[in-house]
Amino acid sequence: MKQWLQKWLGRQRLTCEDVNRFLAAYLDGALDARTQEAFEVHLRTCADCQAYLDQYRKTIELAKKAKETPPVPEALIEQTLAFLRERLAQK
Amino acid sequence: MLTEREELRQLVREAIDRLPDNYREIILLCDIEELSTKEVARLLNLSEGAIRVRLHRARQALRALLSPHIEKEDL
Repeated sequence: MKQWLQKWLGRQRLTCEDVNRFLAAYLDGALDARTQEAFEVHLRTCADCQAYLDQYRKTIELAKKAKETPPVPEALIEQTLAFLRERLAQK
Repeated sequence: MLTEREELRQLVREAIDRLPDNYREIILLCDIEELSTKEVARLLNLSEGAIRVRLHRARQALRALLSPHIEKEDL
């Protein structure tokens, strides 16, 4: 069999369902090279899966936000500094 | 008064709290604490494959709860 034909026949093709199933492994860098290539080929040609991956990534980013500590308001910093300066001046 | 970012953080926390225990646990360990799949697998005494499957389902559940906010959120 000609090499190009063998390569073409051997190329793995993924369905949208496969892509969905492999999302966590893909983002974890855990797919083997061949599956990753097939995954990316599918993504390039499937707008629905691209959009889904985008939303999946946004979900992860949102989850990370749950851990963030809210920034301290500037006014509170100024107020605290003023209070400390006043206390130091009294001593 | 809560800022928009703090409101969003609150929404995310509430959504995570609404997840079933095993989904919340995996989101906390993998996505929030950012432990590796290998570390979480060791911690929960599960295979790495099982961790990825559970994490995927947990993220899908969280995505469903947060979808109105994901669409308008510009990350």
